[in-house]
Amino acid sequence: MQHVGVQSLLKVHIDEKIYTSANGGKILALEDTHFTLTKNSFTVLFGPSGCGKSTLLRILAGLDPHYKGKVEWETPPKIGFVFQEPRLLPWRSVRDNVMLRADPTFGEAEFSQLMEAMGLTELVDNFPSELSLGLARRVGIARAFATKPNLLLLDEPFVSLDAPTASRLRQLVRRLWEDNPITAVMVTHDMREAVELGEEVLLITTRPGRVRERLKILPTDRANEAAIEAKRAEVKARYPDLFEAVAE
Amino acid sequence: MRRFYPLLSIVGFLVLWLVVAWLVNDRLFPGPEKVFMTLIDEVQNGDLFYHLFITLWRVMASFVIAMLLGTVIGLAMGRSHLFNGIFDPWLVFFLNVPALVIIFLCYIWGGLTETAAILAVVINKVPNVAVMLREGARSLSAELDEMAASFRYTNLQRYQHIIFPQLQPFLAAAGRSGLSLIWKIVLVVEFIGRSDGVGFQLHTYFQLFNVAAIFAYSVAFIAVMLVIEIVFIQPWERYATRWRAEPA
Repeated sequence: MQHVGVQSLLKVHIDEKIYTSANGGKILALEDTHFTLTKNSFTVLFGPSGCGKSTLLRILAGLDPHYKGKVEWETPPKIGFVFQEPRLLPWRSVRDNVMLRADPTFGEAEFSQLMEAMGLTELVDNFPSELSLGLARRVGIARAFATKPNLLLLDEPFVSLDAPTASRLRQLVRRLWEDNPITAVMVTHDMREAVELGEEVLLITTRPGRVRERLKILPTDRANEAAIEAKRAEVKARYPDLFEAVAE
Repeated sequence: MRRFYPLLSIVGFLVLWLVVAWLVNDRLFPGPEKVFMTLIDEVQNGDLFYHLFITLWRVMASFVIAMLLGTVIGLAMGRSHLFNGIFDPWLVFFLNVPALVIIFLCYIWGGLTETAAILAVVINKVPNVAVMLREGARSLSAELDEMAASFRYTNLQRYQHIIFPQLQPFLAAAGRSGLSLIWKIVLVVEFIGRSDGVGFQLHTYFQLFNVAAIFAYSVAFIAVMLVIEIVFIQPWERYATRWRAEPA
C-alpha cells in the first residue's frame, strides 16, 4: 500500500482478481476496477450477486492480498467492518464485543452515548445469544464505530431483516455517519438502500466485476419515500441488466 | 424429587452390595461395613492420606504437563497442514502403543525414578489430548478469524478471546477423560515401579489378598476425584459456558 494525495482517502486499482474454484477452475472475479474514495464520503457498491462486490470490500479491508493491482492509502488504514452476519463473540457481553477493539480514546461516556443512540443501553450485559438478529446487527455496527475507523466497510448489513427493522437500522447508520463523518463503503444489491444511504453509487457489472458508472445521489433524491422510489426506477430503467440478477 | 435420584441410586447400590456380601459370606468379598472399617483404620494410622497425597500429586503433575503439551501439539496440527502431515503418523503410532510398554520402557531407560514415572503417564496421555484439540482447531470459525483480522486483534487477543473460547468444549472433554485415564495409569506406574502411592498400596494388599483394603483405597481415591469434579471442574464449566442460551 502506498500513500496518495490530499482529498482522497484511498485509490483502488485492481487489474485482476482471480479465484480458484473448488474443482480447480479459474474464475475472474474482478477486472480493471479503478476508483477513488474521497474523505468522509459514503459510497455504495451496487451490483448483481456474484459480481465481486464483497470481494472488493475484503480487499479494501486487507483480508485478501491475492490480487493484481494496488490500493493506495493517504493515511494508515483503520478499518471498521460491519459484516453481513454480525460475527460477534458469543462468549462475550455486548459491552465487551463493542469495547474489545475500541479506540483508546473511546471512553465510558462515548460508549453510553453510542449505546443510547443504538437503543442498546438495557442490553450491554447481555450475551449475543440473547439478542435478535436486528439487535445483534446493531451491536456489530456499534463495534465498528467504536474503533473510530477512517474507513467503515458495510457488507449488506441490512439483509434478511424485516422491512421496518431494516429501515430503522438504515436511519441509525445514516445518523451515526452524519454525527461522526468517516469514509464509508457499503455493499448492497438493494437500490433503495443505496439511494437512502449513499452519496455516490458505483454500479458494478456482472462477473468479471468492473465499475460501469458512478452515480451521484443528491439529498433531494432521498427526501422522501417517493423520491427514493423515483430514483430507483430511474436507475433501473437506465441499467436494466444490472437489476436482472438482483432480487430487490 | 429429581435431585434426590443420585442419592437414592447410591443408597440402593450400598444395600445391594451388603446383601450380596452377606449371601456370599467370604472374606474375599467384603461388605461395605468391612470396607468402611478398613478405611477408618488406614486414616487413623496415617497411611491413607500419605499415599493419597502422593498419588494425587503425580496425577496433577502428569495432567498439567499432558494437557499443555497435547494442546500445543493439537493446535499446531489442526492449524497447519504441514505440521499435521509430518506428525500424523507419530500420533497414530503413540495412540496405539500399549500403555504398559511405555511404562516399562520409561522405567528401563530412566530407572525407577519419579521423572520416569511421570514421563510414562504423560507420553500415554498426550496423544489423546492432541487428537481432541486437533479436531477443535479444525472446527475454529473462519468468520471470527476474519473478523479478528479486520479489527486488527493482537495475537494474544486472538488466543484469549477467539481461539480458546472455541476450544473450551474440547479442552473440557480432553480434561475430563484425561483425568480419569491418568489416575488409572498412575496407579499402574506406582504398582510396577514406585514404593509409595495408592498403586503401591494396592500392590501390597493384592499380595496379602486383602480385598477390603483394595476396596478402601479405590473408594477413597474415587471420592477424591469426585470432589475435584464437583469443586473445580463443574463450576469452571458452568462459568465458561454461561454465555450459551439455556436449552428450552
